[in-house]
Formats: sequence, structure tokens, C-alpha cells
Amino acid sequence: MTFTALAQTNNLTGSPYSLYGLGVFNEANLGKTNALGKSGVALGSDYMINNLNPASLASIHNKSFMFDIGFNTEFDSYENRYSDDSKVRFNFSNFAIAFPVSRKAAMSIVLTPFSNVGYELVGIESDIEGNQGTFTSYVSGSGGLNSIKVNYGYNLSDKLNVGAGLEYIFGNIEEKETVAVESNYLLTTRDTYYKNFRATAGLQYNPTESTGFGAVVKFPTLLNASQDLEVTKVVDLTEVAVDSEEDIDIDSFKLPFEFTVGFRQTFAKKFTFNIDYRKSLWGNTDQTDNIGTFKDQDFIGAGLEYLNNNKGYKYWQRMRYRIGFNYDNGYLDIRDESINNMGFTIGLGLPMSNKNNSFINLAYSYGQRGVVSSTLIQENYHFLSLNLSLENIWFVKSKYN
Amino acid sequence: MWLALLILAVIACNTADDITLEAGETFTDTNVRVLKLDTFDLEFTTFKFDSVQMPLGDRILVGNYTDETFGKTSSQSFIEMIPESYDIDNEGVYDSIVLIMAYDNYYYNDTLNQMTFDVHEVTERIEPYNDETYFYNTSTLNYNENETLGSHSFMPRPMDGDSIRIKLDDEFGYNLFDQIQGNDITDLDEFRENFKGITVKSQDNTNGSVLGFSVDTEETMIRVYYRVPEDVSDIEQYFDLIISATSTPATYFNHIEADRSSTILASITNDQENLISSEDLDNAAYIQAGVGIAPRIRIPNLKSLYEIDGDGSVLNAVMKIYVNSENFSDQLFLNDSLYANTLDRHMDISEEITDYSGSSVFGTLLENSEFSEIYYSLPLTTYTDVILSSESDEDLYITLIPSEYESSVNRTILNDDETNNYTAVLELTYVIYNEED
Repeated sequence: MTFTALAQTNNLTGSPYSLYGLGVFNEANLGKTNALGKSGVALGSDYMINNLNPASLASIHNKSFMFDIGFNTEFDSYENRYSDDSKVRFNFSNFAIAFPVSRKAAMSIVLTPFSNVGYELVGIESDIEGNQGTFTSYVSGSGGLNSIKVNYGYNLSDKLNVGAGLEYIFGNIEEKETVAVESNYLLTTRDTYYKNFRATAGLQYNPTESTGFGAVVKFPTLLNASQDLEVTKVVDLTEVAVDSEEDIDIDSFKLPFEFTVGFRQTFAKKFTFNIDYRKSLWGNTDQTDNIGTFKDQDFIGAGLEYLNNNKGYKYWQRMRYRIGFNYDNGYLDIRDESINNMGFTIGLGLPMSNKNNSFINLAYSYGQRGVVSSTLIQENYHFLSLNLSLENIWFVKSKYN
Repeated sequence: MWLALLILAVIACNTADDITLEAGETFTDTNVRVLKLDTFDLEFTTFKFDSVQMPLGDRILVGNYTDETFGKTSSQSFIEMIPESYDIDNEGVYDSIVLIMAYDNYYYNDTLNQMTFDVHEVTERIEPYNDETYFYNTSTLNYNENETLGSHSFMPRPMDGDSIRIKLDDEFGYNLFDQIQGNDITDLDEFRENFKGITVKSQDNTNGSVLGFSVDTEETMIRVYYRVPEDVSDIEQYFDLIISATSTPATYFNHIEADRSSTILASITNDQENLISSEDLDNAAYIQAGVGIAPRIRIPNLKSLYEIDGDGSVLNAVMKIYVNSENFSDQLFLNDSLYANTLDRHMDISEEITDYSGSSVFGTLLENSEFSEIYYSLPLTTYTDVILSSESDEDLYITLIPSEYESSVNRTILNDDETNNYTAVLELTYVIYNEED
């Protein structure tokens, strides 16, 4: 899978809520976190590349080379008071490698979608100014942003790992609007390009083997935006160019300051519980979006993993069983209604070998976005993800040779 | 509603895979503003083309009518008619000569009045002046005014009649017959030396009609009858003089004129650049085909659209030009359509106005019986873009003329934008797609 292919993959989502902001932010992550309520800043990177906290990289085994590739499929159904619809999509979701750079430090390079846009809305009736009539418009959007992230984790002491990451976010979102008045149409296409870096810092404190704390901050950044505008109209059944402008300076999109705190606890030797709380200070960005108002977002996610026996003889004993839950209250109020997002997750980690920590990680989540109120749409999604989380032990083979 | 369905259908066809949810305006707002504007000033004036070029192969127009607005309008036709052959049986004996003119179904004004047509012999060659190819409505030629070759009174039946037959002078007929039979005339040059042509005009009625006649060689001709004696009985034969209607230079034309001296249009002169504002003409602009009266319409302040904040474009523009019901009748009927042309500053027609698809732009006569409205609906979306993108505000003038403007005498009175009722209006749909300039 090449970098270009990812950048060109459009419509990774079918959510009508991708209309807002930069689209629906990608929540699919690496390894097992998809099955654990999309949480895990306190988890290590010894059995997977944990992309949620750069500090976790410090726990990569020496001489390990880790690799993670993910795919997902999403089945969305939508309903409002009047109608419903559904959609299935298959996507490539991530590509990542991680490797130690010294006895105490490791790095990862992670390629993921950052946000996805894919919506088509018809029958938006608006008033014509100057008479009693209305006109109908149809809006659609596609595209999304991608992220390439370099993380570095360092083992400060037995109990304390620190990490930092630098992420380059880039991509474009195409929005089309068709306005029909009488028998003529105006077609507006806006292709908006965004790009900039964003920094992340994290730490993990592990007072005991079975207890850990994690914290991550993402620093605010401005995604610099420029827009290409193409306007045509269909008059007398003929399409005519109206306007074409390139590289129009438009307002940057502000990504907020974000912090996550998390905790993990292993108990009864077989269960690991983890929980994350994240706050995203969207309210401070002072942005507005069409009819939406940005507001601070709270996220809470929790997961539980069961492992019978890592060295068990039976395969089921070595399998990992996961369950999780996540909830957030959205970062946008649309006509004074929050777009809450709630999901339940279950998953399996299927070991691929006795000799290393390679897993097939499967996760299923069922979630709801929005509400069936007088205005908004409720979206129900089934999300299935497959991650191949592979570990190779460097330098080991030569020993046998 | 059908539009929404159409859009749905289009989306369904194109991206069957995608979500098409009726989201409604509560889920998102449009980024576009649509404004309906109808307060543009319109400038209506009237002028007269100094001449109207006569087309080839069209019709013969003869007659006159009078109305209080346009005065007395008349058309007189000058026609060269030439033999099909110069071969007449030596035994043939002259019988009679008749001018046959077949109706082509065009008429204007009341056909219930009896009309009298007079035919005179033209005394000079029927050809355009100065080696030109065409005649004009103002062209005229000398003819023998004191003597008629024939005269005919009749009730016009332009729709269901076949033709009118005007018996011509037998001395003239015999003379023509004799010279061809006796081989004094054997070709066109010799014929033209002896016979130039005829002119057909109607006697001054108070209020008659103007009638259209065919120029087809099978339908309109001078027919000379003769008899060839045979053993038992004579055989009737004839030969025809016909119109060479499409040959160049032209060999026939209609002289169309009007006397407006005692009407509101008295101020309209043959000076093409003499523009009379609608304010001085009862808040109207005027069209009279054949005579050459035409309106000039200008939208002086269209560029005020640019004063609206944001980037926008005209999505639809229609000029509605109303006609008062007292200004037309079944006899003085309106044309179904008026073609739009641009005028230069000297009021010469520059070009036909076309829309983006390349089709001619014309005003279509529409009737809204509910509001007893009768108006021409003139689609000007493309042309408003021309105005908006032009460097200067001047020299962008529209004129409206009916089809057959050169070979009919229809008249139309168009209300301007200041009249009391049914004022002309430009209805414009303007879409702002970018709020920030």
C-alpha cells in the first residue's frame, strides 16, 4: 500500500455528519485499541504499536520490529423523521512500523486517515430573497485528511516512559453544491487543501507491572487552508463557466488543545482494565461551521481484555478477548443539539505464532451518532476492523545461521 | 416539485452508491444566496429604419389599412413578369389577358371591406438602383399613372380564396401576343425593351387590408389566352409571364409606406437616428413591420448588480413586455414571437441575439387569462451576461422584430416600464456563491 493510494482514497466515510468541520475524525487506530473502547493511552507497545501515546514506544522489546496494517469496513444506516438509507464501505485504515533506536528508545512511523468526508444531502430548501419562492440545493462532499506521524518514545526510568510525536496532517476536501432555480442550475465546487504539523507529547508511569497511568497532550495547530473554487452554471441546457479561482486564502482550521489521561490495571492475572478520558478544547478555537457551533468535547473510553494464559497450550488460552465502550458528546452543536457519539466494542486478538507477538486483531463496534430529533439524523454504524499487528525479532535469525 | 424529483433522479443515476437522504434545511444551510430582482430601469425608445431591404422569393404585398396609432399604411408591388418561352403557334389567335395572383394566406387588418386593385404598366426597367442586388421598402419606379391596364374590385378571401384574377387591357395583351408570335420579340432583352413590368396597388380605401400573394410561377402570373383553329373546333391555349422571384438582381419588390402625420407617431421620421423616448409616445415602444418602425430597449443599470456584496452570477433573466388589450385585435393581431437583435449606436442591426446553446432568442407571446395579462416573455440570461461582462455601458441595445419583418405590415405596441398598468419588467435571478468578495 503506497502513500499515494491512501491520499487518493476518497469517501472513507458515509456519514452525513462529515458535512461539518473537517469531516468525521478517524477513530480507528492500531492494534487492539479498536476493541477496547478506542482507548489505551496507558497501554504499552509490547504487543502492538500503540499509536495513542508516543511514550508507549519505550516498551517495545529490544530487537523487535513491529508492523501494523489495518483495514476496516463500515456499515452505516441513517434515519431521520422522514426516511432512512444505508451504506457499506471498505477502507484501508492504517499502515505503521515501529522499531527500537537504542536500548531505551523506539520510534514509530504511522500513516492513518485523519478525517473522512462523504455525504450527499438533497432537498435543502431555502428562501429566495425578494419573493415568496424557495430554491432547492443539493450538497455533497468527499475527500478527507491524512496523517503521517513520527513518534519517539524514551524509557527515562523503570517506571517512567516519555514520548513525543510530530504529525503532518494534509489533504483536501471537495464540497459541491448544486442550486436549482426554475430550469437552471448553479454548480459550485470548492476544493479546500489543508496542511500543517501538529505536536504530541506523552508519558506513561507504571508504578507496578500491573498498574499504569498515561497522559497525552496534543498541541493546538492551525491547518493552513487554501481553496480552489470552480463555478459553472447550466443555462439553456448549456454548461457555462462562471468563475474559476485557485489558491484562494481562506481561514485556517484550528485544531484544539487536547489532553488525555488514562489508567490501566491488571487484576486476577487474567484481566486488564483500561480507561481514558480526553478533553478537546474546541470552544477555544472560536470557529463556526455553517450552522454548527464548536464546543468542548469530552471523550471517555474504557476496555477490558481477558487473557487466560500467554503460554497456554491451547490456542484459546493464548487468545485475547476484549470488550469496550466509548462515549463522547461531540464537538459541534447543531441548532443547539449535540451530536453525541456512543459505541460498544468487542474484539479478539488471535496470536499468529508462539515465537513472537504477532496478532490478528479483530474488532467490531456498534455505534450511534446523532439523534432522531425533529432536525437531525441518527446514524447507526457497524464497524469491523482487522489489524495485522506483526512482530519480527531482529538479528535473531543470524544466530541460528 | 418536478425539479426536486429530477435532481433525485439524476443523483440516483449517477451515484447510486451514495446516500441520498432528504436532510432538509435544518441539517445544513446552503452556502448560496438566491435573489429575485425586478427593479431594473428599462429604457424604451422607438425609431424607424431608414429603409428595409426586400428579401428575395418572398411575397407580393398589396393593400392598405388605417389605424389611429400608425396612420395609413399601404403597400404597392412592382413586378417584372417575363415569358416562359417565345414560341407561339403561328395559327394562334389572341383571346384575352389576365393577371392571376394567388393568395399566400397572409393578410393584415379587416378583410370584410371590398377592395379595388389597379394595375399599371411600369415605364422603367425593374432593377435596383446603383447596381445593387436588392430593393428596399422605400424604392419606387416610374409607371404610367394615368392609364390602368386593369382594375378589379373584390371581397378579399385570403384564407379560403384561391386567387384573384384581374382582366388586363386587350390592346396591351394583343400587342404583346402579336410581337412574340411575329418573332419581333424572341428573347428577354427584346422583351424588356417592349415591356418593363407592372405595378399593383390598391385604391385608397378608408380602412382595408394588406394582402399577401404568392410569387410561385405556378400560382401567380400574367396569362395570355389564344385559340388555335382546328377542323372541328378551336383549341384554347395560353402562355404565361412569370416572376423570376429568386433571381438577382431582384425583379420585384413591395413599396411600403405609412402616413403618420396625424398620429402620436408623427415625430418618427425616416432619420434612423431619430430616437423617440417612450415617455413622449404614451409610455410605449412601437413595432411596424414593412414600414420599418422598431423599438430600442436598453437596461441602463444592470451593472448595479455588482454593488451587491459577494461574487454572483445571473441564473435566469426574463424580460416581460406587456401589451395592452386595447392595442391589438383579431384583425390587428400580434405576432407569436419577436426576435431579439442587437443594435449599434446608429441603430443598424449588429447581430441576432442567441443564447448559450446557440439558439435564437425571441420573445414569446404568452397570455395569463387569470390576470388578463398578455406579454412577450424574452429570455435574456445570456445577454445579461454579455452586458455584465462588457467594458462600456453604452452600445448595448436590443431591438425586437417579428419574423417576416420585411414582408409584412404587422404592428405592435409594447408597454414601457413607466406606464400605469402592465409595466415592462426585467425579472432576474441572481445567485451569490461567494459571500466574501
